[in-house]
Amino acid sequence: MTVEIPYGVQERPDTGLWNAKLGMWLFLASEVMLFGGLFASYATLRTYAPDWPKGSDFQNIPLGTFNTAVLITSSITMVMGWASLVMGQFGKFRLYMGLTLLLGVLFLGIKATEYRGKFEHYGVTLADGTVVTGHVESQDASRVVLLPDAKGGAAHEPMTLARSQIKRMIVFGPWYNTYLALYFTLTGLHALHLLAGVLVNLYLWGPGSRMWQREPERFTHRVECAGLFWHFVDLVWIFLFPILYLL
Amino acid sequence: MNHPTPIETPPREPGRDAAFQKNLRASIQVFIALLALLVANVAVSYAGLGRSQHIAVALLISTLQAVLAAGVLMHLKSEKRIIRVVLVFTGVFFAGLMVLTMGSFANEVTASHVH
Repeated sequence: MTVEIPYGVQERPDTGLWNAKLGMWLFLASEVMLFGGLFASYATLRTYAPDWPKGSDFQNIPLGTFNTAVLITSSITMVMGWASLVMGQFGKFRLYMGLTLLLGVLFLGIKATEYRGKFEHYGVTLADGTVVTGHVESQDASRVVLLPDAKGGAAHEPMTLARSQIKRMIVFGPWYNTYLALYFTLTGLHALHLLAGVLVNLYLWGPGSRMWQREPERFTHRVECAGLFWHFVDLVWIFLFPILYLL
Repeated sequence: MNHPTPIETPPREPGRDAAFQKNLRASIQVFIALLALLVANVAVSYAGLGRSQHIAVALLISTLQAVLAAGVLMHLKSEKRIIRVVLVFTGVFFAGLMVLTMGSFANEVTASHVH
């Protein structure tokens, strides 16, 4: 015997909503509080920090801006995908959802490149107390060749440092300073959300799309819910980008 | 994988179709606005504002982007009342969280409090 759960497709007369939509909005409300806690932590740690770096000290602003544009574009392709289903154009849905997936993967790829760059970047404290930051080009037991960050149009030549000159050498990981700890925590959690969105969209683009043949309205609802989550992830990034890259 | 065959569009009321097309056009306008505001936010970061002014302007631009994205792309402006009620509650709790956080800045433990 099968029992059909009511209001999976039809709207409830009292709320005017089908189940999944209300469920998705409640979930997004909980997500607001999850990220809200992290934003509050950011505000506290930044306010009490004796000094705070500019995002541009650690980030590539043009790359971050491009990545933000990629995510914004993926939001409109998501809308177009859902709208195509509403208009009964399944082929267009597959095209737009495919584009959304590609843009999502591109965003994650650029983010991975940024992360890799951080783990090739070091802050080197010399024996005289001077701190030099830059990419390590090569290193062995006796010396480190560092390409220092260009500052104010200064010469950008590799520096060869003897190990005996180096007091401390730390990679730009989350342990480097509070800014990077927050950067990795916030962007890491965001990337996990985006990855989840990509997986759901991939399912809806691929095997999950068979539902369109049997229950087109329910499938359209599923895509709408996936879209709400996708837009929320985009919305979170809209705040993360300025606080981590621009301010 | 077999591609599902497109099915016929269910019959729709003409007025509803027009509203749908209007919403779709609004979504595209919002997309352009979001990109323009992104450029504005980056431009402001090079404008040489003071740190507090810069924070205020950047967050204002981001909030405007969020309102546009939520209102149009997530259809919040035409969403049912219960969802708006849920979000008002969420907003109140979020605001409370931030006010408590900010309030803690005004209540620093200083050396004179430590016995």
